[in-house]
Amino acid sequence: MLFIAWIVAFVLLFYYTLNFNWYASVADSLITNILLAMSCLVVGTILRFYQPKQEIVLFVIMLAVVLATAVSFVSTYVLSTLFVRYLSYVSFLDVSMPFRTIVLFVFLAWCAFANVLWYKLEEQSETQERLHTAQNLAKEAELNKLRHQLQPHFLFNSLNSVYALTIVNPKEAGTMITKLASFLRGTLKRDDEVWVSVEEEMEYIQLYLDIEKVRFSHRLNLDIRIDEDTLGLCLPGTLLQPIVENAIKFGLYNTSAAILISVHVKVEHNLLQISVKNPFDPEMKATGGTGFGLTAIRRRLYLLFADSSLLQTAALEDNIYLTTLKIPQKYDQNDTH
Amino acid sequence: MIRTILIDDEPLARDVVKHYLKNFPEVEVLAECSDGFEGLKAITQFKPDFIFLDIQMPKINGFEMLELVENPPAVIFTTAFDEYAIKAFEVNAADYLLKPIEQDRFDQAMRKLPARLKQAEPTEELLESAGMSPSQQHRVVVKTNGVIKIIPVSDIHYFEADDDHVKLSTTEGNFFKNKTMSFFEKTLDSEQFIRIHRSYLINLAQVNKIELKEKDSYIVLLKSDIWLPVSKTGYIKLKAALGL
Repeated sequence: MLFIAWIVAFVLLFYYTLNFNWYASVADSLITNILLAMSCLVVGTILRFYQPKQEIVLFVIMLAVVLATAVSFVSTYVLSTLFVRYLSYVSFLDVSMPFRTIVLFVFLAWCAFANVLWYKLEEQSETQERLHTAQNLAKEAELNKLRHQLQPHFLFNSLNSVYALTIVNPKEAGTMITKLASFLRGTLKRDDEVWVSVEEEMEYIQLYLDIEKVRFSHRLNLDIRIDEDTLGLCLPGTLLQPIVENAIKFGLYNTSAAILISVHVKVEHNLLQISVKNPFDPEMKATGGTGFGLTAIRRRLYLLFADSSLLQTAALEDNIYLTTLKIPQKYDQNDTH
Repeated sequence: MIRTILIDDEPLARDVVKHYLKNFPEVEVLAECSDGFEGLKAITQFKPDFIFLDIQMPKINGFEMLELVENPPAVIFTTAFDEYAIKAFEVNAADYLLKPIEQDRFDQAMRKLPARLKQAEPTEELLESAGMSPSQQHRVVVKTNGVIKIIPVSDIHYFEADDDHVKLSTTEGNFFKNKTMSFFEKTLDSEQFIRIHRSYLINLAQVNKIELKEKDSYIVLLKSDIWLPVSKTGYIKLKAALGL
């Protein structure tokens, strides 16, 4: 609609102000404007797929100049061939050619800059949206991590045990509260990036197991052996606890019998090696998913050492599950990063 | 006397409940159980008026235990943290206590108890909504000849409607479960289990071949060498699930 009105306006312009006959007016307006419209589409398409990062203004001007010149030449050529006999019109065409080119250039340049602006705006809103999504995802991941770190099931059950102790054994309750507090403090401190000494890590694990022992004293037995020469070695602070937690989950939570969980820390082939043994119910394994949920730890090991074989698991005789974690030691023991 | 049983795997958690019950001398604790199997035995033996039941316990959880009880008693659930269980309680207006349990909250539940004992419990619906939890989507717990079996869903070949029961056909034979076909259709992974017929829900991994029996009527052969009929809508679902 707009386009037709535009053409009609030009026809009238040619007819009345420049006093050409109807044929010439209509033909000139139609041909020039259709070529102009096509050029605008060309500009739009080019800018949609290619926009130079630098010198965009120069690029747009060049584009407009080239297209304007081309349109002007073609329309002048076509029109002068069509109206060879209409002398006053042909001479007008010759004279007006530079003027025509300039007008076309202004139109095309305007069209091109509008396009550039439009794509810039679109890109910006897209970037903003992506940024927003990324932020949301990061927030969610952070929240999940926190939730996992706090282990709500463990926490609330422990609180319930503490509460029970305040009734049946208030003195023990005090000890349990301080242990729970130290454990939570340790949990909040943990980070993939921060290495801790075996001594510190094992104190943390001991706290965790002590708390579980209060909850299940009647059936949880522990055998923890730490070789002297390992105490000064280091490991990332986020790996061992989930493994022990896993041993508790499958060894203790899944059975009502008395069980033994053993942890042995030693050095082998210059690697710090920690093995955790827990009993498991083979029937439960079939229904509780495969891999005992250690996939996440394996992925972390891969990210830290580019070697996911540092975590090994094996089902031994008598339904004992063995998890072995190996940690390469850094050359500089004082470097905690 | 109101007779009860405590089912919780943590002795200290049972201690709290026992301590609170001192204010209710009319309540008698008949037994304390530390997992669902013991709980089931004690319920059958003592037929209590109501029970205190923990959700997360060794072997089978509290809901799975309840599924196996005929005419279950009234239940006061106790749980520390389980999003799905709490949602199920809220939807079905079951009485539940969050650990650590508050004295006031406990007393309130006990005061409501006499009224609840008079009316039938809406256990069915509660168990239906609890069945939606991810932990229960991977296995089915059944009781046959007094023995409790935990069947991973991947071992189930197909479900068949059987009066008011559902028959589970597995590698180890047939088992019966007091549930509806639509319950299993709703709770199990719909990419793994396909309702091919009003009476059949099959494990897609068990499909051997599909054949045209007569015009517009198909039958499916399972790996266990059993032919099952496929309804018209069942055939459409089956085709979609197989990506045909």
